[in-house]
Amino acid sequence: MANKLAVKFLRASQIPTKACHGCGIGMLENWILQAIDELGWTCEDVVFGTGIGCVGRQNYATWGGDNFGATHGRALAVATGLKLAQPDKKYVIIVGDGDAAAIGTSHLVHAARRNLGVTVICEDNMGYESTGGQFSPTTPMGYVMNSSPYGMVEPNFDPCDLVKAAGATFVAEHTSVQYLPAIKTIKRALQNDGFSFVHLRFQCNENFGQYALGTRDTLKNLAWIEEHTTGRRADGTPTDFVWQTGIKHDASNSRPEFSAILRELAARQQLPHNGPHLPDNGH
Amino acid sequence: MPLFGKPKVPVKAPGQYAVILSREMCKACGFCLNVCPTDVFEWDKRVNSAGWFPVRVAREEHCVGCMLCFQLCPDFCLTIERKTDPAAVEQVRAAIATWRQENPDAEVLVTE
Amino acid sequence: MAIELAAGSTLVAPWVEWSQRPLRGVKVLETGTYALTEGAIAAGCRFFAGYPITPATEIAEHISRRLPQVGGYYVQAEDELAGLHMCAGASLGGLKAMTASSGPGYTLMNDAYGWAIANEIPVVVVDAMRVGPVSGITGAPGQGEFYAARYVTHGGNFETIVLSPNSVQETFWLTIDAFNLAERFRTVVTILTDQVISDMQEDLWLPRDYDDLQDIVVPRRFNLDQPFYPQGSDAIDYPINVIGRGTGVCVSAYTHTPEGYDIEEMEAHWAQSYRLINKIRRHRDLLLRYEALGLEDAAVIAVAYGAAARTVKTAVLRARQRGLPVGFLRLITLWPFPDELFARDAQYLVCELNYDGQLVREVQRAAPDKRRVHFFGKTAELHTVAELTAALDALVAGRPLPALPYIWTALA
Repeated sequence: MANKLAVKFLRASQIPTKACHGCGIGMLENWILQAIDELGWTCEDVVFGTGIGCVGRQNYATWGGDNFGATHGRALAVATGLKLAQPDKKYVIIVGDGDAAAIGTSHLVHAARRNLGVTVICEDNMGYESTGGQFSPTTPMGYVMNSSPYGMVEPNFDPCDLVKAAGATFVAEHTSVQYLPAIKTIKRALQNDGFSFVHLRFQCNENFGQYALGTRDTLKNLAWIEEHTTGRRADGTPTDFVWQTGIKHDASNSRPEFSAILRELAARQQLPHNGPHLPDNGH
Repeated sequence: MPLFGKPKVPVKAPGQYAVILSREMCKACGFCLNVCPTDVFEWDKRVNSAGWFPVRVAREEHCVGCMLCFQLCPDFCLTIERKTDPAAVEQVRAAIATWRQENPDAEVLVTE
Repeated sequence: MAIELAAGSTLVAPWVEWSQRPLRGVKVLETGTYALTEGAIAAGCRFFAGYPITPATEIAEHISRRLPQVGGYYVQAEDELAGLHMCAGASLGGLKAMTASSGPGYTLMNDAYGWAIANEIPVVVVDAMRVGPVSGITGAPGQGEFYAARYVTHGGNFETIVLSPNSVQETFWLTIDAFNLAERFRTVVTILTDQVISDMQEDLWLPRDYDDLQDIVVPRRFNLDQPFYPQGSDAIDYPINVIGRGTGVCVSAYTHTPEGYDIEEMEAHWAQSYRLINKIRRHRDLLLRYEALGLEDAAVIAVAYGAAARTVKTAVLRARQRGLPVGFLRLITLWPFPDELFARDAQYLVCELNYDGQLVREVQRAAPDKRRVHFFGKTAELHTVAELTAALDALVAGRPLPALPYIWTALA
């Protein structure tokens, strides 16, 4: 590989990943590496955690430092235990829309509620693309996907709203054409000593493109992302919907971080010696 | 403002940037070639070992350092460095050379 | 304080020796859940994540108070699946970790079990069994997770270690043993206790200072070098992988290489399965724990584990007092199943707290003649001594088992 950040931070044997050509996951990882590099962090400082699906598989084992790929939806549960045991590391938890907005939403909500000091990058290709393109809770309404052949009739939602309501101290959303704002946002998210959620929507040519857009052309799929970021098509007409991007909520460092809370509790309660806590045992 | 399909523009001060591209990593998505405003890239007629016809750097001197290709490449194929800072370019080349020494089994060919 | 055994009985377990050490101790009247909590603390557990459920709730109650006292962390997880994943994460970060539940929560943990087993992460999981399925009877003992604890996740290609205590004092020592085995075998060790053993109150002797147990407790040792996963090897006492020490370890849900990378080759899965199965099978001699009485001359051997074994033992002792050639076998290690204890060609009366028959099927498989293995199942209450006496008398006399209300003897 020739990307100098990849040389610095990634594992040569795992690149190129199994990603389809034109997939946005590698772009987003490149931006995450830039954010980490600009903050001056090293492979030893940061732990990557991923889930299952395209985002999980394509990110897993790429990072040069310690990393884990949890079961589907449970990366944040593993991260909760890890953060308590190793609180000084920076945790970048990269999960897909399935992991964050479907099977793992409970853990997402509770990690936000606890203000766990991790940065969740939810890379959202608006479907379960790894299994062939079934719709997900973030698929645009009415879109045809592999399991919504008559158009998606289930209502969808934005996980940003959910984590903000649950108590996340940093919430932001960008798309896979907003590289400079996304890198800035990711830097701010990483610097929040609390729960940060960065929602990044990106293109999937092979499955979303095939079913929802009727084309696997990489340029057309990325252009679709760009149009729904600005709200305007190339011919000037408005798109069917537009994503609200930017920093949606920034209360960085305003609430106690979860592992700090438990450490302080232990510091207050710790007994002088290691034995049963009984009146006739010196307590 | 569309990403692709805009006309290529002429370069006023050519030769300022080095464009280092890995042809073995390239999966021929076409983003760099189509987004580059100054027509640096073209399609390579030789296939790489993964079966893709990758992009190659045809007119490195046209590069103006906009970094669009670097930011949009999904497969870590590119580094853009100011040639007027030869130390920076050398640093990147040295890092890549060291990495290639440490990873002899990685099949990577770097075109410059 | 040494364990008292009935005359002529054998107890094979590491705490036979541990309990004979001259340590300063204190005696209390406490529950099994209390003993389990103290055993975990003594073993070095510094992380618990779980969800309250009868009859394991008191473990959460006790340990939420005790862990901050020893510099540890209690997390009340949003569900049991999260709880076990959190424990795996904490263990990966270097803390000894435990979770506790009962049947309805235990069955939610399967995916997390698989992750921890496949990645060789030491965790202790407690299932305080009650009557099921689902909520069943909240406050009554069951033994319905015998097979579930062995086949605790999907996919096969692994062995599990499952232990079961039957007294408050034994719970204390067995919990320390479970943590030790988790460290030595780099796996999840399951403690199958039940509602009776959890809630009953008995004399409990505790050392005054848990640091005195240093020679007994296996400490956490970190693996700082490749290979992270010695696939194809059956070695135990391999140090534990750790995230956060700059080792570059990779931990995932996929079949993995020795470095931890995901790989889709049959040869890699063979090597991984070889390790996960054989590291336990090839060291089963280290895992054998049981209590036995009178096996050498018994014509009928009553087999049980956990709370069920309490009344079974009483019935056997009384029968022996009347001169009947009956023996008693209490399993402490349930898995790997101790086939070697069933070599004797006797009648086996397998007493367990379920109606579908689980332990009895393993005994049938292991014993020389499965027609001489009899199922004596009951649920929600322990077998009464009278029921057991009637059964033992019948088998000794060569009669079929009596038909008793609420006792199930059919297996087909």
